[in-house]
Amino acid sequence: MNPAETLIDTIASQAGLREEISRPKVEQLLAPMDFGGRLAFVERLLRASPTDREWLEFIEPFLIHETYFYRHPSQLQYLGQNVLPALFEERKKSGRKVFRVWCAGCSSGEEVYTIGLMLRDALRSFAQADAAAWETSVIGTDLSPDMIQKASMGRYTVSSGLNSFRDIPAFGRQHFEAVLSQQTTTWTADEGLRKSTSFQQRNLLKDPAPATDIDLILCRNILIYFKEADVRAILTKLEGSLRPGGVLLLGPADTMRNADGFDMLSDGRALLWKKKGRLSP
Amino acid sequence: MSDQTKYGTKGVGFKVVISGLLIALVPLLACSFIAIRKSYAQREVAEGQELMGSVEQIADKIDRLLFERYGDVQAFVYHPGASADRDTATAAANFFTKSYGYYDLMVLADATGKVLAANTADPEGKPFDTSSLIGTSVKGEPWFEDSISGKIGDGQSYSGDLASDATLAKLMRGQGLSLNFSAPVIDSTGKIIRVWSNRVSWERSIREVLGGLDQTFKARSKNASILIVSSTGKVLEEFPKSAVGTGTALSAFPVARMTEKSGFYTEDGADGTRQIVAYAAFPGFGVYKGHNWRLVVREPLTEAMGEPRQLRNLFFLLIGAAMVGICLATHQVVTRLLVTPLGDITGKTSRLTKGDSSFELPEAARADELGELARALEIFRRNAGKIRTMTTQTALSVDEASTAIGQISDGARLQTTQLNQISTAIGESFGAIKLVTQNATAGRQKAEHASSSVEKGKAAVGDLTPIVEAIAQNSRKINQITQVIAQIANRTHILSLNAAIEAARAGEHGKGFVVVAQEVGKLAESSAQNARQIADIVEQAATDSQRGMEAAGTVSGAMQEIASATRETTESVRSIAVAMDEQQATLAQINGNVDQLRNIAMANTASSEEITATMVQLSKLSNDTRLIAEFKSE
Repeated sequence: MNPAETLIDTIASQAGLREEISRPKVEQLLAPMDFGGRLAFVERLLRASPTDREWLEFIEPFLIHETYFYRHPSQLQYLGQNVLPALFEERKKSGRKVFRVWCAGCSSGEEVYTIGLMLRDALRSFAQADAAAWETSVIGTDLSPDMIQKASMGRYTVSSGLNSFRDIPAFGRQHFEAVLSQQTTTWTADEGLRKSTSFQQRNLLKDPAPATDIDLILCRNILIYFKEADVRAILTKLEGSLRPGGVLLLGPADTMRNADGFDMLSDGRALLWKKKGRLSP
Repeated sequence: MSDQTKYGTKGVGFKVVISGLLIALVPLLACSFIAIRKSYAQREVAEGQELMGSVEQIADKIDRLLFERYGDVQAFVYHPGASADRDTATAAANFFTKSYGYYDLMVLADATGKVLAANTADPEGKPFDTSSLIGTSVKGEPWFEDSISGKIGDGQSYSGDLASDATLAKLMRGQGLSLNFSAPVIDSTGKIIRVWSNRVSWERSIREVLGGLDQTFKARSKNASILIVSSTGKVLEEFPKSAVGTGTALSAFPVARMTEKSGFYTEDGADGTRQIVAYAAFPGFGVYKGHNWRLVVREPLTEAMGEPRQLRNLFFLLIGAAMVGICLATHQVVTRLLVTPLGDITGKTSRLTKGDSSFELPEAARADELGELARALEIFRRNAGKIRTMTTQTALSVDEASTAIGQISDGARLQTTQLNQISTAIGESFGAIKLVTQNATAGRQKAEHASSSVEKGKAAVGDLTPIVEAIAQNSRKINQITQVIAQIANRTHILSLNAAIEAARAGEHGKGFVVVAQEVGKLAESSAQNARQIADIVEQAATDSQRGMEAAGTVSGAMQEIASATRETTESVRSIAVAMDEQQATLAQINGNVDQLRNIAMANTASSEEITATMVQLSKLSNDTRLIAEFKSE
């Protein structure tokens, strides 16, 4: 048994991570061990189930946790201005004032809070006084339990260089005024935001979606780490958990594979996929 | 370019109709053109021949007339009047002139050339004064010379070409145009004795004929003109006179044509009308050879061919009708079969270029080229849709990729900063460590030094103890001696007192003084001994002290060394402690930097993954585009 290859295959099958990404780290990890040590290491891991702490700790350094508030602002602007009101309208027409969002691969949670803030803003301008009657929930899932824990805390600190606040656009500034004007170095999610957001540790490849009848799914810059067959499977899973007319937002570097079930929404700077079909009351 | 032009003059339909017309028309026109030309040519030939025939006849008629004139003079010379006297001759001449009516002048000359007689009446019988001629000489004139020389044979006459006769001109005060027929008068012996010369009036002969003919021609055509041309091409006569100088006159007859006896040709007149020209040579008649003139008649062609013109008009009418019919039929057929479906497909293709792919393509079921076109369009539509999707995705990807690249370069900059900081910190660490090492080394050295000093001190102290003992001893001894000396001093003092007293008492005897002196002497000795002892002791003590001082010096030196070594070591330790503190801070900073680097590395990985994904998309897109460019469907 080749320990390196076995590890790489296991990582691919359990977490979906592509060989090209996992290989260098695996080799680095195994380099200082002797052959017997390697074998033992691998066997131990193989015996562990993907939900075991041991496995998750092992996989942690392989995961890329790059995220920040309002990442890809042009997409989010289009979403907020053009798409959310339309989706609210569809829900309103169907008689149920609910709105569910799933952030697949949410890492340290900035995306979830971003969407939570955007939902609140959009709903306020759409439903105004009636906004309180709407039941919104934003669910963030990620493979890494460390990240999920960090996300649940909802507290982010300014640090030098590439931090969570590096690229906040004009339409989101209001929520981060204190941090951006350097009055404080920490941002905390407010009570309302906490109530409408939740986090679960889930394996995007292996585990089912956290909900059905979802209005909006964000799965940005995750699929690029998966191999082709897994990408298709995940996209099918995402499509299945969307409600008719629901919107899937991928990252700009992600390619949609089977677009037959979707209509393309675009304003030239952003691209969203709207599931075909109409919401019935 | 608007879409409407496709059905207008730039459209395919129009071009097809034009092609159809050309295909239909060109042979039609060609055939009719050829037919008309042929019939024209035939008619021309017929007409030409007919005209030529007429001209030949006329020329013949004229020459017959001239033949008669040729013969006339031969008859005249046999008249008795020709050989008679002047009056008789004159009478004969008058008779001939009046009765023939062709002659302007008749002259009879003798063998010397002297004019004997001439007519004195013109053809109308009116008096004609020729008296001035009588007696003049005609010697040298060709007609006379030829006739008198015998050149004119039997049955022949001198026949002069149309010329301006000077004599006649003078007499008639005109041009004097005439033909000269002359013959010798022969007597019974056969000798030429006189010459008879007739001047045929051009006016009365040819012109009469032509005048009559002109009328005949005029019956046929108003624009005919007649020409008589001499053998050298000189125009002798023209009819009608009104035509002289206008474009319809034949003022010139191509000399080249003089080689032919007769013929006809067509040419364009100066007014642009087609003219037919027929000509014939004057044939002469019998012995009259004529002067090889040409008779040329010209008529406008269209008037010569009245009948074919109508035929031609009818023909063109028929062609026109056929053309219109073909036009309409072709237009209908082409429109229905080709233009409309082609226009449909073109419209759909244009819509596709504008991004609208919402149309049906029933033409794809056709079996002809349009069907192929439609099927190809279908493939394009599908591919265009795919390409559009991919292009949109890719454009956004590329946008994002440039953001990612920007982030990587930002990250790289930050990395450089962090790394610089780390290297500075590490440099400092090195410095500190070096310092620590130096201090540690110095400290060790100091410690070694101190320990050797301590050893030295210990030894010195070891040396010192007996010395101190000795000094203590000596001190005790000195104490003792000092006590003794004190005692001695005391006793000496007492003695001295005593001495003083004794001295005072002994003032006479001094006996006590001797005792005192002896006592003092003893004391002195004892003192001396003690002094010697003291000196020894002091010497000893001094030496001991010296030794002790040296030892003490050594010890104190050693102590000082230890003290300073200890001080320095303390310094070193202190600076080590400071350095250690600094190291703590540096390490903390390095930790922080490394953390940052880790973040940057993660961001870079994410960015490079995004860039890779974009590159994959781009290559996929270019692959698809290439497939389309090669007209394949996936």
